[in-house]
Amino acid sequence: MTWILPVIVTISAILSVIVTYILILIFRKIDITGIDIFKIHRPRIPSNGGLSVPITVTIIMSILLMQNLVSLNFFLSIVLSLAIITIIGLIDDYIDLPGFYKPLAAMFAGVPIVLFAEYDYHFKIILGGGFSIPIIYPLAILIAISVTSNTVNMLDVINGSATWGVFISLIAGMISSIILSSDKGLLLSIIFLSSLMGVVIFNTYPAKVFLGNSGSLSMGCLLGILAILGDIELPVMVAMFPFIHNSFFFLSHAKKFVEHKTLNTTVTFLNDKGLIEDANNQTAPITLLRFLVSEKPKSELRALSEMIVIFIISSALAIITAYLMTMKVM
Amino acid sequence: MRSTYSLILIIIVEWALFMALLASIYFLAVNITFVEYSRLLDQFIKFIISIASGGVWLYIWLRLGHVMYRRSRSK
Repeated sequence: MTWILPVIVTISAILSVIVTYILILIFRKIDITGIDIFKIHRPRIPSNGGLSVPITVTIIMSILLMQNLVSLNFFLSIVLSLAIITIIGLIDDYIDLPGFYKPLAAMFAGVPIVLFAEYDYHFKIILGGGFSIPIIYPLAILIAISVTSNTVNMLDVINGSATWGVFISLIAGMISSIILSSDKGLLLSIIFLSSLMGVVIFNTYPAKVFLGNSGSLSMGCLLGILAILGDIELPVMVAMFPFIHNSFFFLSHAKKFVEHKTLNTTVTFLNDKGLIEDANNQTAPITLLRFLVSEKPKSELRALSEMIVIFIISSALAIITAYLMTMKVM
Repeated sequence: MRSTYSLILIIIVEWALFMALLASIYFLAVNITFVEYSRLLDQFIKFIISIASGGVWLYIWLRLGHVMYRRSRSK
């Protein structure tokens, strides 16, 4: 297995960049674009470039299946989950649906993982402890996939924010897999990381492509899949703290599942100098971006850099968590 | 960077509380028995305590977030 990992990484990364580039050309040609609201000239950028992630992962998993390096059940649980979440995202990209649609529909993406049962229902915690929860765990999978997908989707607010958040969390997942000796976790995190290369290059500020709901939901789904099938739930959860913070403050304010646009309130805006500014609106939720620009208006690049710093810290905590899980006291 | 430091502080505090909470819940589940004659009732009580602890943890996160946001703005 070890010799093939560098080959997988190389093929997957190159494939991801090529697929993303082709998607940019296609979506620009057929005019599937979105407005980049945090730029003074509000340019139109090709949308749905995040589709390269599920496409690349599916191709790489197919190669691994043909080489008998993964089982059919393992392959199906990942590919079908990604397919379902991508379709959900695509529907949401083109049709205005109620706010509860995405969290509810995203639960279906967890069904293949439950059906093909490639998971371990023993939930490990720190200091050698853990809970065997065979009845609750399948239900928790459905909720976890929905939470990880939607929470990443909710932080896709500036160029590269969701992409870098997922990328850094996956690195934390990869290191945690090594610490916890999870071969599946290591394999998945390497595949997922290299599959993200295209969006890392083209979605980072200044973005050449947007992820679209399909892209951000599928990237969140990858984190959920890694946590469950890699058996590293706790470290991934900790690495995702900034995502959780953002969603939690949004939902605790809205008190229900609603889309950003239906809140009818301005959270942040672009001022005359091209800086992102807190709208100082009492009726708006304190999202992660609003918190970051609360002290003073900041450029989009600066806000992205600060988000990356926060993700690096939470990922460091995730790695410490993985280390604490190896210690046996209880 | 003040707001960034505030967010980092929130995440570190919440992580520390989360780790302590998980260890406490596990200790409670394994080492303490509230009701001797009914295992089901005993587990139900532990489940309620765990849910309440999780609620308190989230409430602390919410309060801390609001306090730090106000401090970040006011300076």
